Amino acid sequence: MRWLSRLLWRHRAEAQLDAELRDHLERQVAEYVTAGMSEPDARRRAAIEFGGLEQVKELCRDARGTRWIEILLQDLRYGARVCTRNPSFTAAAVLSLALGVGANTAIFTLLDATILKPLPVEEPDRLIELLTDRGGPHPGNAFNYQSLQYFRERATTVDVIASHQSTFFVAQGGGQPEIGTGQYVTGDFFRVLGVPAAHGRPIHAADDRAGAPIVVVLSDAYWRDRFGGDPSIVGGTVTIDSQPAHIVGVAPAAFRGLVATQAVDFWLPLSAEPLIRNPSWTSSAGYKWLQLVGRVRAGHAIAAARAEVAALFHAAVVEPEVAERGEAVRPRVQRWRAVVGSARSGLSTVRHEYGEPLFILLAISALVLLIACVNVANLLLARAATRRHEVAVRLSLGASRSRVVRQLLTESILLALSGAAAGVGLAYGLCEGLVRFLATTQQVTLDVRPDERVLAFAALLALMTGLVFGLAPAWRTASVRAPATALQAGNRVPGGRDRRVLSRLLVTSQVALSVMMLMAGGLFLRSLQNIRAIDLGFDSASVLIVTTDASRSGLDAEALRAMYRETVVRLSATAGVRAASVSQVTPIWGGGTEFSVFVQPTGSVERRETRSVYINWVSPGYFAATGTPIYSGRDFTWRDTPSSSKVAIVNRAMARQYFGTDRPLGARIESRDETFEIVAVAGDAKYLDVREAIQPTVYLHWAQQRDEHLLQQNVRGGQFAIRSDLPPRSLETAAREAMRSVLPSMAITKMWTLEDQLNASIVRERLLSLLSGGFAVTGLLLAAIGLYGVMAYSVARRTHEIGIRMALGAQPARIAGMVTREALLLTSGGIAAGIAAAFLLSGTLRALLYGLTPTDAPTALAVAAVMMLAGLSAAYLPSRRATHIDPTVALRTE
Amino acid sequence: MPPKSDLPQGTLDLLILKIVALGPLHGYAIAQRLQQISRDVVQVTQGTLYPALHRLENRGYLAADWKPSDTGREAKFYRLTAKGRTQLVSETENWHRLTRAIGWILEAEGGLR
Repeated sequence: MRWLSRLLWRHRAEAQLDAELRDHLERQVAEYVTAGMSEPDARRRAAIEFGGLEQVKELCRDARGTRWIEILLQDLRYGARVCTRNPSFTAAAVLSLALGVGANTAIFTLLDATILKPLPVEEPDRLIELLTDRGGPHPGNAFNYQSLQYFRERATTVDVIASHQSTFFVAQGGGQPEIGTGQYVTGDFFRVLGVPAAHGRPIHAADDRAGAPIVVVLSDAYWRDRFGGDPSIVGGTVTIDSQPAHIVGVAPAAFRGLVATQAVDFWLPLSAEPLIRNPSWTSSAGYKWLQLVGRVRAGHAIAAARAEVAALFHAAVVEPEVAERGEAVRPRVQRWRAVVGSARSGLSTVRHEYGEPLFILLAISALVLLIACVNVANLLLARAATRRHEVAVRLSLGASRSRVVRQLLTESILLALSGAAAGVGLAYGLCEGLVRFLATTQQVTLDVRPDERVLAFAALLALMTGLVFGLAPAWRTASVRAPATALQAGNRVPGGRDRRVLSRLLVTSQVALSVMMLMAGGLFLRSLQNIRAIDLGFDSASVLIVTTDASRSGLDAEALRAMYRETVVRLSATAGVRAASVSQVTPIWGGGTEFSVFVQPTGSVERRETRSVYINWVSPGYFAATGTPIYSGRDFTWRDTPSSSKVAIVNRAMARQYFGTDRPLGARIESRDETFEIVAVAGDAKYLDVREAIQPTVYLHWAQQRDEHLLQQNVRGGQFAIRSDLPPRSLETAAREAMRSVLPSMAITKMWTLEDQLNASIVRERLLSLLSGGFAVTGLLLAAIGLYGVMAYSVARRTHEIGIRMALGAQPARIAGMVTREALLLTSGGIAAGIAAAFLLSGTLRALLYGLTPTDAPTALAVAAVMMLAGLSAAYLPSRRATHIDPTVALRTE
Repeated sequence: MPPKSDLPQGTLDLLILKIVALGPLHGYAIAQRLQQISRDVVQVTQGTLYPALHRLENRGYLAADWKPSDTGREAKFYRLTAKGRTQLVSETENWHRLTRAIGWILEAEGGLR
């Protein structure tokens, strides 16, 4: 640490160095005097022989090995002084960079938190996720219990574990129950993942047996929040859905479950599910609810595990499905394929939802940073011109060119680091906002505090940008012809021809980058507009949606039917409510049921065709509540009961496609052993997703569900839709009270509006258009500032020339035109290049756009117009200044 | 005055170590001693000597103390450290080996001519 102490004692070291060398000189002088010289002569001779005292010192400092740190400190000090001397320059540069680095860091933070960060488990690279490709856009991740058992019994290369997330009522020591998010997991879940308990023990295989007492492991956050972080809670008991559960441990803080966006409060063994949920899904062959993850066993290749899963898939998944739902589904189910993904960073659901948009946004935010870099490079170039004199003096005094370049680069990196620091702060705020934005879909609990990965990313960006935008200006500055320039008058603004070419090239590329971003923003915006303009077939305004869970009521089917009817009737009678209903799903909820039915067209006895249709079980009032018109026939009523004839309402698409008429009233639909009579035709309403084409849809009466079906439905939760004349949120309390008065044990799991539901379903489009639009505006501003800077500089440089022109009688309009023409030339060059580049890269956006192609001409035209306008605005002030140049003043400055 | 010679690379360090091995000296005395011992053939400028001293100190071969000297001022006296002594021994051996080898080569070349 000798160099460190020497660095700290730099002042003393300097003094000692000086004393040592002076001592040498004095001795030499003394010797010459002794030899007979006069003192002045001796001194002169000794000094000549010694050489430059400062040069020797410099060499000694070099020899000490702390040179680079000293130079760095010196450069930093000098750089900071230069920066504070030009506050407006520094502010412009730091702000540009803060915007660029901030945008990038924010998107990277989200990307890292949702997708990139590996799970905090042992060897996350050896984790795989089991999925099913059913031909949809994303593979499904749900399996039934029988498939899980099959994989666990047969697989030899991989340990398969399962989890399933659900909401529970948790009560401590006789207190009020509150809703908590729990996960059923197989007994080997923690062992296979390699997650130890922070306190107590994890769930063991012995806990996951029929008849074993229920145990629970708390998450760190839940434990701190609800139990005050008290370790003695281990060994205690909580009540989960009226079942006592022993707290056996607390999970480590880093482990929050397998999905980054959803925090888990506690884990239960899978064997507890039949004790808690009634009817249980464990014993139901049809219901797919478990997410499967596997760890490839030691000594086996991941490829071998993939191959084994694919080989077992048919027997594990396809056959049970056919056995459960009949041979009719075989042709379709036969095409299902196993997909084995990496579970390194958790389950793939988040990746499917946000992966592609986030990567595209990262690319767009990289463009923001590029524009910011170009801005700073241009600022530095302009300043480089004014610093030529200073640099020339330093070169003449013996500084090496590399030393000068190093000094200038240090300044750039200092700027970049300041910008990055401000950008990280900006990113933090932006991330918080984005998580709130994303949280409209579901409870998103994402950890977006900037961690060391994010800080390293930002620092790397800063260093890279510092080098990128600093190198060319630094090199240019340092390449002045030293003494010649040093001797020139220092206060003239010079500007070589190649410098002007370089800065114009930079500003043109800036315009081009900005145009590319405007294109992306414009495309996403128009795509969102197209989606918003889709005829939904329902009216999303003024509808409150309440999702409920009455599975703890213990009611039988008969009592449940009465309870749901009573609740709907009571909600309908609430002041301000126009219509209320309960249904299996509400429009665009994101889930639903597809079913095979036999249709028998009217008048035909022999033709029975199998059709796949969407099904929704709805109560009377559903169509009024969701704002879907009924074109002919009658709505369901409460006079339709399980014992009366079964009724159905079909949408117009179904009527036309399968019955060839708009009024197939009286026609029949069969499903297994039940027959439904069509009593009405409803309007075509979107079912699963806004973007999908209208599918034939059958609505069946909620109250006519078979007993076991109603019980199942009840476990999944009924969705109430309440349309009112009042703002929907104002009905929350009334709705809550109406429900509690009918059934106190009914839990409300979610309450939001149909508008929220709609927005949540297009969160990806909204996110893309909001962010890319915001980035595009930022980029446009930066480009306009860059353009302004170049034009202003150009006018300043040509003051003399313009003065002469004016003196010779040039009209101000001509002068203004000259400046404006230059700006327009630069802008249109950038626009042409930008649109060409955008068209070339447009393929990547195709899948994310709705109702337009990436080479949409109106968007391109609008973008060109906006950019042109920005270019003109940027040129306005400089051109005005040019026309106000006073020839006498301009000529006097020469 | 005899002709001046440049020192082969690295030999200045060896010479300094050798001189300082005889007893603690300040920079001026080291310069004088170098000149005397080499009978004025080797002349070292201050721009070479002092960086070399600082380099050797930095590497731990030399240590320095500020002590009162004959002029009445304090002067910086360099002395050899244990590490420096080891270095001196091995560098001296290297030197002898090298000069012997160069000598052989030069004699062989002469025979051929």
